[in-house]
Amino acid sequence: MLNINHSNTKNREGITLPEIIVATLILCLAMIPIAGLMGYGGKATLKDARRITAIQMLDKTMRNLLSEPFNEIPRGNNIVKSFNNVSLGDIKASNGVTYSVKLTSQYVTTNFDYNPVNVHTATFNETSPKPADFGSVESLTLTDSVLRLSLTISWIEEKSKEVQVSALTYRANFSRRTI
Amino acid sequence: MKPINSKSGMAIVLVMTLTMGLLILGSSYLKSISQRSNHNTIELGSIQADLLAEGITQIAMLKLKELPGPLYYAALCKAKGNGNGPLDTYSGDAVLNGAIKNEFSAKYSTTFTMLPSKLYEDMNAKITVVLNLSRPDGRDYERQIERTVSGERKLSGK
Repeated sequence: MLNINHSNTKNREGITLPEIIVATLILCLAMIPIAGLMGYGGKATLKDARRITAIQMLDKTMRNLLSEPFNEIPRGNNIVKSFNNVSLGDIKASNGVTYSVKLTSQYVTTNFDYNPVNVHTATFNETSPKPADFGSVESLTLTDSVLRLSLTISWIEEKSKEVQVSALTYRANFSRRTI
Repeated sequence: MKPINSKSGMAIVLVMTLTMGLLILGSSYLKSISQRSNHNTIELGSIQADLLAEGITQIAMLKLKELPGPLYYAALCKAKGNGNGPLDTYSGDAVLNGAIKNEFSAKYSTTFTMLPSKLYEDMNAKITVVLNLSRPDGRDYERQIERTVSGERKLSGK
C-alpha cells in the first residue's frame, strides 16, 4: 500500500518561487542590451555592404576609364554623363542604394627632362657614348597628353548623412604623334 | 529564527554567471564588427595605391615613347661605365618622382633600365614605379609596378 508522508515533502529543499522570479527578471534585463547589440550588428553589416559596393564600383569605373581611348574621355569637373563603357551619374545598385558617380578630368602639364645626344660629331662612339656627347638638360613640355582622373562616389547613409569614397589616377595619350 | 540553507540563492548565482557570459560574447561581437569596418578601409587604400601606381606608369611609358633615343644612349653610357648623369636626368623628372597630398598622402619614384638586347636593333626598357601610400587612419601601402617595353630601332629613311 502506498504511504505518502506529507511532513517529509514540506522539508524538501529546492528553488523557491521568489528566486525564480528574481532570476528571470535579471535575465530579462540582461537581454535588453544584448538584443540591442544584435540590431547594431545588423546595421553595421548593411553599412559595410554599402561601402564595399561603392569601392567595387569605384575600382571598376577607374579600370574602365584607363582602358577607354584617350580622346573619348571627357574633360571637366564633376562630369555625370556616361560614355562608352563608363557609367557616371546616379546609379542604382543591386542593394537598392543609389550612388552618385562624378568624374573630374583635367589635363596635367608634364615636363620630361633629358640630355640630348649629339651623334654627328667625329668623336661620337655609338657603342660607348661619353658624357661629353650629351648636351645640357632640355625639357619636352606636353600640355594635352596626360589627364588627371579623379572619381568620387557618394551615397546617403542613415540620418541623411552623405558618405563618399574617391580615387585618383592618370591616363596618358599613347596615340599622340611623336615629334 | 529560520535557519539559513546553503543552497538558497543558487538560481541568482547561476543567472548572474550566464548573464556575464552573454555580455562577454556581446563585447567580442562588437569588437569583430569594428575590425571588419577597418578592413574596408584597407581595401580602399589598396585599390588607390594600385590605381595611382598604374597612372604614374602610364606617364613613364609616355616619356619612353616620346624620348626613346636619350634613354638608349644614357643607359649605354652608364653600362659602359662612362657616367650616370644622363640616365639620372632622364629618370629624375618631378612628374615621375614626387608626392601627392590628397585625402591620402603618397610618394612615388620611377626608374628606367635597359635590358640586354641586340644592340642597334632592339630596345627593351624596363620601367619600375614604386609607390608608398598612407591613409588618414595611419595604414600604409606599398606598390611596385614593373613594365617592360620592347621596341625596334629604325633609322629615319631606312
